[in-house]
Amino acid sequence: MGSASTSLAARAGDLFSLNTRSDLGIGLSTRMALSQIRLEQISRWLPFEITPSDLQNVLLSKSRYPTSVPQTRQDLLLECALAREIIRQAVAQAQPGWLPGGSHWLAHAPQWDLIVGVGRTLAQAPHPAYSVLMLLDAFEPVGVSQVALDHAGIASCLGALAEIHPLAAAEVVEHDAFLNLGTVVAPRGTTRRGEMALRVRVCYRDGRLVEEEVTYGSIRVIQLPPGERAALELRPGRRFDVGGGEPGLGVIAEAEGGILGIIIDARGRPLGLPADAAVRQRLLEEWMGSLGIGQEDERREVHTADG
Amino acid sequence: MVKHELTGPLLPFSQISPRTGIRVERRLPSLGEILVQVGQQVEAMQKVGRSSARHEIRVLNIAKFLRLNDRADLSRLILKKCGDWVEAGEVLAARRGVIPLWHKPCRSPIAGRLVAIGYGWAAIEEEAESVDLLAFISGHVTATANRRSVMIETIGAHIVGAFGVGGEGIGPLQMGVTDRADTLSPDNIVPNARNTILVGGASLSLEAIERAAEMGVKGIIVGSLSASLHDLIPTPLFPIVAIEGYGNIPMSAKVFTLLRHFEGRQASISGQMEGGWDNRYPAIIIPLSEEAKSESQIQSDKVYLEHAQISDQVRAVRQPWQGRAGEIVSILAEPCPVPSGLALPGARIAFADQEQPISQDISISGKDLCAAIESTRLTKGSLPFVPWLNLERIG
Repeated sequence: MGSASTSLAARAGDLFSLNTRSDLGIGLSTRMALSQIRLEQISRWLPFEITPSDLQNVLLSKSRYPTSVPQTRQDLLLECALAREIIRQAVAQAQPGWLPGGSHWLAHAPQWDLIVGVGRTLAQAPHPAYSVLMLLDAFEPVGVSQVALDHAGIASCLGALAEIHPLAAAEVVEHDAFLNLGTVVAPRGTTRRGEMALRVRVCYRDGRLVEEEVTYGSIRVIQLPPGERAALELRPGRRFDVGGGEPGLGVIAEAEGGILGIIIDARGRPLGLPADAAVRQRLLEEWMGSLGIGQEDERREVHTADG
Repeated sequence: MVKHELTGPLLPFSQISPRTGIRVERRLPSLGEILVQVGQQVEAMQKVGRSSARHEIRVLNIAKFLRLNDRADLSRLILKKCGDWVEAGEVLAARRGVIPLWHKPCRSPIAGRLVAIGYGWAAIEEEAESVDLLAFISGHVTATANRRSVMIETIGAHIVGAFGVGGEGIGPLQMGVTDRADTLSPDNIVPNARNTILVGGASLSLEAIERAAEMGVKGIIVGSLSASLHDLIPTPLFPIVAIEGYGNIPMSAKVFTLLRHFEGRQASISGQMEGGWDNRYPAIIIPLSEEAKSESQIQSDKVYLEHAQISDQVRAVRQPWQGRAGEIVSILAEPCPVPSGLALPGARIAFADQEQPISQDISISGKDLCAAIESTRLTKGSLPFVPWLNLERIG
């Protein structure tokens, strides 16, 4: 996702689809993006109240000064909210194209092995948790996926290199091209908030075992440092499918570590946001807090920096 | 001892100058006639060029109208030849049958010149209206090019706005408010505002825009314009230039003082802006023609191709300091964290238009690495930090 355009490249088996929207971006194309995305769609991702006019003012300031960066938390969250909606637009357009070569499942509940975020808003957010949340909220992946960021801005160069020297490009990707954030586990389904959605058992290589029961509507993070791997035993609730093909079916998977670790996204699919603004804002703040970027975390960091 | 000072990057430059050389290129929409000569003094309202507006070509499906096959040969049916002038409603082609009234003739829907006749169709180029190009600023003509453009130069005040709406306006400057943070309301627009360029404060209301249109105001300059208001007035009758951007941001003290200083002088403002890579932004030009006459050489606009340095004048373009102008007082050697969580290189700025207590305490906390490695000229204490990416140089 760039300042002027947004591209979505997807590969599943023999299917490769590339969709580029030159009218959607965070920066030069923000004005055009705002003409297609309703302001309520953007503000629903914000954990604070803002008038439509103020929302527009901040985002259009970004379009006037596309290279500028969010200096306040509010501006940052506004840009992240717009980014979610831009990607959702791109996904909605690309999804029909995933049908012919891919499976019906892929088009309606995408199960991705790897999701890579490219572009400054995604790849250079102040904390990787912002990037993960943007990608999860926009793509709503199902099952077990690895999430990475093109933090060095090298993806497009590798794409060009792959044309003339595919092996070299593949080697760079294999080693250190992308910043591995971790593994996301996201069950599909819904139930009442607070009910069990997924039981997870993590078997580390050193023999340690961690067991977690994650309730519907929450996000949980389990430590798994970069470079490490662990076996996952996933036992979803009877209304949830974690990629096994039917609700309640257990799955064994392997997780690769990252700077965030294993992220259990038990918010359900399709992802629903409460209609009540106060409840929704509290929930958004709670989700951010689960990943270490809640308002309280920010305050604590500022306090620590101040001594 | 060699004094070593850090420098910043090249910053985008935005003109806010009380006196500078100004060069304006005036372009006709198509090739036309240039009415002035190089060296000639022109006034803002003077016509400097004339051309025809873009012609519209209308293609008529005559075969369909005359109920012929699609690729019918019209040579025996059409009553005009290429290059002929046709009036609106004039018969262009008719089918000759045994019963004269059986077939309706094909009439031209517009007045214009018949420019092409094909199999089953004909094309008419619409009558074009003449477009007059005004000088826009008072100055002297320094170049003309290809029956297309005129270059006019002058000396004067030049301010580039963040964004604008509407076309161009020329008139004397009149202060509509007394404070740069005031909102321009209908009450501020008095009858003698007719034909003037009105200066508002932070912003303006929709009622003020309507009132200004009634009063025949030629243009409005404000600190900012709400995006929601912008949507309501996509093409106002006069230009509106917002100096600082979107929202409700007081006009920077520097610009407000400058405009107040030139109250009563003729100003030319343009609300036009080109998006994307064109990089054309709204402008306010106040020619100081009497000074131009006394100068043999006019210096063109200063272009800053130097790295940002201490004491450079800058303006913040994003919140929380958006629209505030000030001076760089220190450049940080290392990226510094901002409330959003990003750590970015930048500088500490002494904003001119707000009270900023400058701390006398020079002790620096050991934990504050950024502050500890600052190259400073002043004791800056609580001076705000702004990343380079959120600054533009002004001058």
